[in-house]
Amino acid sequence: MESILSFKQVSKRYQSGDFWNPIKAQALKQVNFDVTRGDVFGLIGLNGAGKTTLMKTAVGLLRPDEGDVRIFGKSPQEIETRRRFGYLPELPYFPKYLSAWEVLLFYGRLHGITGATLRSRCEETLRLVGLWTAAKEPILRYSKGMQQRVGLAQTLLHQPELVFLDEPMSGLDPLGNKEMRDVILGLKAKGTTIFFNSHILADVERICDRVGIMHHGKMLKVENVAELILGFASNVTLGLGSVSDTVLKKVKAMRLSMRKENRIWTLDVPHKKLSDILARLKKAGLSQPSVLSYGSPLETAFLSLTAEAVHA
Amino acid sequence: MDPPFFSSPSGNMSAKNTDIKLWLGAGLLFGLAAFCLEAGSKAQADISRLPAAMSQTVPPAIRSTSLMASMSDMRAAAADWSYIEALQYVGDVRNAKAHYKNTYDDYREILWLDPYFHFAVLEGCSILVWGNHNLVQGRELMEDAMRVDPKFSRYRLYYAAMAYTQKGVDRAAMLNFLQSEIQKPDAPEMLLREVGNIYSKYGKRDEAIRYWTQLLDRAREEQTVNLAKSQLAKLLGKTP
Amino acid sequence: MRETWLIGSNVFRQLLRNRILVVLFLFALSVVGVAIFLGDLGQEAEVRLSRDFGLLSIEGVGFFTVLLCNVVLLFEETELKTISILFVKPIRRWHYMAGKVLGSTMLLLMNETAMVGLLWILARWRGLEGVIDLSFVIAAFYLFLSGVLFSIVAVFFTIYASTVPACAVYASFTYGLGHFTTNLLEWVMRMDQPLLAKLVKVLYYLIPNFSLFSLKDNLVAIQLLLVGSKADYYAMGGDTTILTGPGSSAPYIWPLFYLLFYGSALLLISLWQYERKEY
Repeated sequence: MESILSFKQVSKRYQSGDFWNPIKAQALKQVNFDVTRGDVFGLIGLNGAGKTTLMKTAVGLLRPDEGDVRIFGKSPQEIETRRRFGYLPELPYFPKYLSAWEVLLFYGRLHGITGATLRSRCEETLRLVGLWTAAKEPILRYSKGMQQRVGLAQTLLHQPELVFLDEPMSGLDPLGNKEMRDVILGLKAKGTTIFFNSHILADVERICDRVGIMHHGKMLKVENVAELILGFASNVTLGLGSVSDTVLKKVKAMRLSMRKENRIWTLDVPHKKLSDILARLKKAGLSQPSVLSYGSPLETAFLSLTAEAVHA
Repeated sequence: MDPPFFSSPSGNMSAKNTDIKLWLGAGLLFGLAAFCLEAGSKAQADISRLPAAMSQTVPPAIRSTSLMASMSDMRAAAADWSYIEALQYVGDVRNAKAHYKNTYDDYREILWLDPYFHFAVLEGCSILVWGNHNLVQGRELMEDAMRVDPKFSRYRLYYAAMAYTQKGVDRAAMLNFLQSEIQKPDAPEMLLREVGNIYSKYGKRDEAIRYWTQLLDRAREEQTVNLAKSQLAKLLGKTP
Repeated sequence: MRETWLIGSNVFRQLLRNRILVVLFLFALSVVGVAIFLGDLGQEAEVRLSRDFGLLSIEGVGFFTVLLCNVVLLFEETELKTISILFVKPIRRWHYMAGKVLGSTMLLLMNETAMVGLLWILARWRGLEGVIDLSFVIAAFYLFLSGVLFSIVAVFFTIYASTVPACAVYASFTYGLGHFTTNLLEWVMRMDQPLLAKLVKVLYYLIPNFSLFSLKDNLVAIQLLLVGSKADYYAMGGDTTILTGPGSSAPYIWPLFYLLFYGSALLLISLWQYERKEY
């Protein structure tokens, strides 16, 4: 399968702090993966994991300090490359005294679309994102969700082969959320490659073919969603309650998937091994652990992997 | 291929070379701009009022705002504003008690700011001489104006009129001041007539006769010829 | 060029609808009215005063137009990050930079044309002859060119200044200095201070020189240039002989080349930084 987006050992440092005390923070560390044509790739991670940085590096707004990013085998800086992808930033803003119609006409002309084709595309895109009735009003009067839709419209106007979406559900109400999901699924059906960040794991689980989990600038795992879910499917989360240090030490020695949530230690246990593990816990002195949840597989996978990374 | 300007810190040599070329190009353009600036400033100095004004001593009573404005390319507007203030000053009867003592400073400032604001200078001089009866200051203002703009003939007419009409002025000194102007072949005949009248009324008879005789030779206007003939006739005791 | 025009016209459209700039436009028109009525205080010198204050107000409004355009645009770019969407479109960054200059220049031209037009209407209404003539229009045109140079300077500072107030301060300070350096150099040359003179000379070349475009103190010289000969000028009623000849066009040609070279140099340096900047 053709790889249309590739990251090769991409690293990025930011300088923060003040003039007298500059601090370099490592935003991306040796990120290495590909996205193939037709994929819907979801990028998940905690706040500050580096998701937006990675996306901005992909579209050319940031330059990697090390490594290389290629889109369709070329640099994202090239003009011809930019004609073939679209980008929706997180919380997009537009000139507030222009209308959505004018904004789309402007961006369409920048892409070289003119005349009747431009007008029909603008109408089509605005209808797709549900903004046709408000198209001629100034953006000043738009809600956050409406501005998000304008953002999506300008991303799709030129019918790109690859679409970057940074938190596309941000600012949308539940109905808008569903509509956005439908748009993305529609694009997927047409064969458009989609690369998006999201905090909403349920959406990622539902929409994506592959998912990448980022933590502190590193890509922890890139996996097909189905395989990831299978690995973490039917997990049970046990809460240990208040335990003594002796018991805790014995439980830790069992090398199970443990994490601390709201000051309570929890265990993620595959359903099949539940009885065996309960027996071992009893032996260690923990007689009645509570069952907290059967959580979403992806959420479980994400939390487990990031917890491992913290403790590693 | 990466666009040339976007040089990656990892060391894209062709991009770095392009950066060097860009800076060299900018340097060359700055050099050309400097050349144009020199040439343009010189060309403008030839027509600008600045050299004449700058050669004058800054008036001691000049307002700081006027001084700042003159340094910031607002000479003409600053002169206009000072003119409005000067008019307001002489138009206020409460200043009569002090004999409008600031009038000279006000108009002197206008002259310094814009030596070619002729109307204001003529007006200031008229107010000083014929309004305030301050001949000394009126004469000083006019002489300064003539030094700054030697070509404006009306200054000389006013100066001559001052010498003709006012009592107690040093007419000999004033006539001396006008000598270089009246010798010029294109001196206005109105000025020559005025000077002749001064000679006739206040000067020695021989000087007056000599002056009118010379004027008769060079006069082109009928009015001047007729006046010269009648003055000579009067001085020589003959019928014209 | 197509992209520059698209961006420039879009910038113009945005600025035109921005309330701050609508207020500025109304302010500009009222300032013109004040200029005409100030002329009234000058009694017989009314025409001269109206012309001088008219040109001064055009220059002042030009300064505020350019400053506000760039401050408003910079605010939107930095605070609202509108620029990140634009920079992933198939355009070069220099298109955007040139488009910004073009957009603010178009607004400047609109404001200044409206001011000249209103000045003409008010002068006619008050029965003043000779306020707006070709020499005035030429002087106003050179003030417009000075505004174009200031636009380029403002764009330069939008890239190098980290905040909006800093940008406004640097640009304003440079504008003031640009009017000051020629006169400062004249004064310093008369002093016996060679080191100071050299320092001022460096500043004189480095800082954009706006005095070169400030022909409002030389309206008579422009009139003489247009008429072509002293004899014809006097026949028209001209009352001064400040020039030795009919007047050369050199004082009017050199500023055009200066704008071209200095403006291009500053844009090149701005472009270098623009290309390196990350969003």
